[in-house]
This record gives sequence, C-alpha cells and structure tokens, in this order.
Amino acid sequence: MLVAAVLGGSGACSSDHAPNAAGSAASARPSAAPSEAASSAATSGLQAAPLDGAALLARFQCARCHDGTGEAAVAPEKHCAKCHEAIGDGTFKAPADALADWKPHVMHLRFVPSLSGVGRLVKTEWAARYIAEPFDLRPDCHPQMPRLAIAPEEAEAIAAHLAGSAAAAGPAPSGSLTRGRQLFEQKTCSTCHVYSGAGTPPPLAMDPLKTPRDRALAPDLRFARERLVPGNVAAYLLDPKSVKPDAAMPKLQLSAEEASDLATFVLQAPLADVRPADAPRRLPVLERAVGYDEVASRVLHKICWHCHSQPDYARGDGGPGNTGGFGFTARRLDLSSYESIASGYVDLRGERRSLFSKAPDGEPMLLSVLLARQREAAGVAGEPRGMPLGLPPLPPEDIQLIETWISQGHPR
Amino acid sequence: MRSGNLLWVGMAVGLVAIAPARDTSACGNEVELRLTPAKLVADGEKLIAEGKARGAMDHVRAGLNNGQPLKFGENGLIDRGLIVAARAVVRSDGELEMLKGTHVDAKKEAPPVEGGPTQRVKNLSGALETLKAAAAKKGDDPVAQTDLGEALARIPGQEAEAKKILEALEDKGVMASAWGYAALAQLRAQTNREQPSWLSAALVASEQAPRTVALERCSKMAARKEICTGEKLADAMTKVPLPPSEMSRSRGRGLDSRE
Repeated sequence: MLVAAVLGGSGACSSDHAPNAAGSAASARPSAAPSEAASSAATSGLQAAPLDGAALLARFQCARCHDGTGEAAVAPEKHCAKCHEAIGDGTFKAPADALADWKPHVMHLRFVPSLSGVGRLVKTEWAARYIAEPFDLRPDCHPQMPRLAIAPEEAEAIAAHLAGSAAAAGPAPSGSLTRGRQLFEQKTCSTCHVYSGAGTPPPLAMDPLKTPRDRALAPDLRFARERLVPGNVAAYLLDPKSVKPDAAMPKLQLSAEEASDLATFVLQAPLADVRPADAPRRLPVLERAVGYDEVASRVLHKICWHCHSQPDYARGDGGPGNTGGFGFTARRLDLSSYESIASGYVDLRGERRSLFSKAPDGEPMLLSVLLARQREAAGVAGEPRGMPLGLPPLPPEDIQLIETWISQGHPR
Repeated sequence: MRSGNLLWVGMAVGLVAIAPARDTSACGNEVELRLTPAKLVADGEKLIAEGKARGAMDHVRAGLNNGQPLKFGENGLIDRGLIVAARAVVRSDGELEMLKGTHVDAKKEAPPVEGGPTQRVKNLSGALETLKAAAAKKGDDPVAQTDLGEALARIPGQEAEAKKILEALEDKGVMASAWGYAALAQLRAQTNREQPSWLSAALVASEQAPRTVALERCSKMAARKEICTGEKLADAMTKVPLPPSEMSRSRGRGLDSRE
C-alpha cells in the first residue's frame, strides 16, 4: 500500500481541539499558529535565542519535498516527489498491478520547486510570508505549499537561511511595457504562465496527469512584483540557469534590451483586481443511504490515507497525520480502515477524541476540516487547519457524501 | 540422437537464462506471485469483520506460512495476521485454537477443538495473550482496546475488566468495532451470580437503556446485523475457500510463497 506523504503532511498541530488546527483567528490570508517551541518562548517572556534556519528546515522536513535545501538527501521512499516520480515511471519496487493502480493517483503530484539558489530570485521577506502563509502560487501545480505549523519568526529564519549570501542585485528594469507585452505574446510565455489580471491569455487547458514539469512549476506572474528581486529578473529571463542553476524556466532567445522590456512587463503591467473565488456552496445531505465503502473509495482511500495510514499496512511510517512529521507531532489519526476511523485521534492533551465529535464551529471534526480547506482556498484561513493539507479542497459533492455518511451515523 | 536431445536441453537452458524475470517479489523464486501473504491476511481481516472465524483463520494460516517463528511485534504483517487469528478464536467463542508460534502448516485447516469448556477458555486465553501484546504495543489505540474488551468479555471472571474497557471507549465515542458494542450490550444483560438475585436483576434493569444504545451503535457499525446478538454466528465455523493460487511452482518457503 502506498504511503507517500503528499507534499506536506496532514495535520497535527496546535489546537487542543482540532486534529489539524492552527491559528487562533481567521484572517484574509492563511496564517499559521506558532509552533510549540516558538509559542513557548513567546509566552515565557524570555529572550529567545536566534532561530537556526537550518535546524528549522530539518525540523519541518522541507527536504522531503524540496531539493536544494542544503539538507542531506532524503531516502527515496520518504521523498514525496521522488516516490511519486518513481511510481509514475514504473521504477518503484512494487508489483505491476499495484503500480498501475497507484499511478493515476500520483502523476499530478510529482513536481515540487527546488529551493536551490532561491535567494537570488525571490525576496527573502516575501519567502518568509509565503512559508508562514502559503497560498496557491502555481495554478497548474496540483499540490500546493502546505500550511505547516510554522511561526512567522521561524519562517523568517528559514527564508534567511535559504537566501544565504545572495549576490547584490542590479537595478530594477526600466524597459518598455508595450514591447514587454508584445514579447510576452511572441515568446508564448502564456504556454506555461498564468498572469492573472494582466489581460494575457491563460494557458490552454491540460490534462493534469500530463502536465509537464516546467508548466506545473510556472508561478502566476501576478505575484512577481512582490515576490521577485527586481534587479535579477532581466538576468533570469536572459539565462535562467545563471541565476538559479536548476531553474525549470527555459532559456528564451532574448537580447538584453528585450529581457529588460519583458522584465518590466512582468513586474509593472497594470493589474485588474482579482479575488479568489468564494468557497463553494454546501450541498444538502443526500437522501439515499451512504456506506463506508463508498466514502472510502471516493475520498478516504483516494486522498486522506496518504498522510493518515496504518504503519503495519504500509511501507514506511503511518504518515505525518498519524505518526507525525513535517513538524507535526503524532496525532494517531489512521484513516485506512473503518475500525481505525472509529478510533478517532489524539488531541494535544493526549486525549482520544472521536472524529465525529464537534469542532469549534459545531460541525463534526471530519467535516469541519474539509470545509476549512474550502475557506482557505477562498483566502480565509483559521481554525481548524484545512484538509487535505497541501492539496486543493475536496469538491462539494465529495464533502456532501462525507456529510451524509456522518449524518446517517457513519455506518459501515 | 542423443546429441540432438542434449542440443534441445542446452537451448532450453539458454532460453531460461536470458528470459526476463517474472513478476516476483524479492524472494528469488521462479514463481508468479499473485497470491501474496498481505493479500491473504487482508482477506482474513475482511472475513473476520463479518464473523467468519474459520475462514479468516485459514487465510491467515496460509498467508503466514513462512516457516519462521511467529512472534508478535517483529513484523507488521505478522502482527496483523496474529490479530486476525486472535479475533477468530474469540469470535468462534474459543472453538478455534490460536495459531502456534512456529512453523504453521498452511495445508492444515483450522480444526475445531474438542474438549469442552476448559479447552474453550484455554483457547480464548491464548488469543488474549496476543491481544494484550497488541494493546501493549499500541498504547491507548482503540482498535486494540476494543479487541481486548471483546476477548475479556468471553472469559469467565474477566467480565468486569471487559466492561470497564468497553465503557471507556463508548464514553469517548471511539469504540472501534461493532463487535465491541455487541460485547458491551451482552455484558449489560448479564446477571452477576455473586450478587443477590434482586440486586442483580435491578442492575440489569438499570442497564437496559445503555444496552439499547450499544445495540443501536452496533447495528450501525456492523457488517452484518447478526453480530449484535453477541452470540457466535451460525457461519462462524464455515469453511471459506482460499483464492485459487495462480502460482505455477514454488521452490522456496519465504513470506512471498505458498506451497
């Protein structure tokens, strides 16, 4: 059985109540509650020692998803993207029929940006905000940076560590916006890049299972002006690998002047207001009977148990949502069987709680975390931490199925 | 003529040598392994959830035919298998005997045990040992605790401990199986012979409402509603055929093979 932690774990974190809760108040952008160590320093009033970015990278296991962290290489079976890649290309050691079964579930979960040389391209302060409050930066990348329990000061230390001693940047580009827009079209940048609000055509729709790496990792350029070091953008466009050695961005045939024009367009094009879509409407519970097998095959075994599995059934551990990982403590939530689901999870006080007990919003906990993920995707994060962590929200129909099953007494 | 035969033999050996490896696990056998121990144990888990004790035991027996000592705690798959076996003993109400520790004979079906109540309790106690080991390994894990409570409920003198465990799980809403609720409902209907009959009857009467609640939850969680009677199921000892083996030949006796 597959136990690859999908780009970020799941959750166990900072609320006494929720299995995956973080943050104490809702906010317009996702916010993460301080991790336990950071909270403890803050509440004790003691002068906290400077945070060690490298140690934090190790603690949050960033190298399980990202290359280029400077951390020691992670074993392939512990590395999300490498494990999925191996399944995708058939080199993972497993029976052929198992590989065929797993493959469609992981083909869209193979790509994670490398952090090598990221400090030369990405502003450190932006990176810190993003680490603490991640959002959907790469529209064609199915997984997203998971909302880990990283405190802002920890995020700053990690970002500073990743930035290293990046060389000073040149001046910000001051080319022609008009020529930049023309070049954007001529060079077919929108083959890969969304530039929301800039009036550029969106990339053509593509089967997520077939999306190539460079397109999957292409960020929405709307965020480039707040995200990128302005003085390095033109150099990056001229020769991406000169700035970031393992850049997914291809080298375009540009003159220095063209690179400046394009960089100007990327950093300065007027932007229309773009709001994230509201959380989808909740569908009414179904009138028909819903049993465990349907819920398991459509949702729990398809998505959730990657991070909430049973170690005795799987290679590796029980996933971050069960045995811990990605900075989360073990919360013993195993979604692999009817019995284990009935067993609930361990809260921060070490007490067993039912997954169907009420969350702070009055909903059963299992339902509450799924609705929370919808709100996060709509730009409103709070408690509890939304699930599935690091993945898009479940569609309303799947949530309806879960809600119906719970309302019927979660029968077998 | 003789040299001709040798030539054919030589060619055949050569073809075998260059033939691509078949879909085997790491056992090194020239076997097409489709019937894996994990599959057999998983099938056993499904069967025992339905109360088919003998079928579950037979599947696990076949799956764990590894020729090695079966010791709880050393291997996840063996642990799973031993837990299924222990549940099978409990759900056969002690009619089945727990798997022996070593050299399980896959060809031998799980035999019903003669010997009356003493042997029954002995068998249940054997299963209890495994379930206690599972509970010790997994701490407060409700699955292990539910199994433990269910087993204790069937052993004379252990009913109070069983009730304590099962009611704690019920209070938290984390009873892991219908079997746990069925056992709890049974315990709530039992009279205590050591108490005066009027007191015992009063206590049973006071348990009527919680017993109904336990039965309702059992009914929701049960794969089959008959489970909630708390009695051994009519088909608990019915044989369930093992899936047909697709293996052509097996030379080894590793965990990946079955003769």
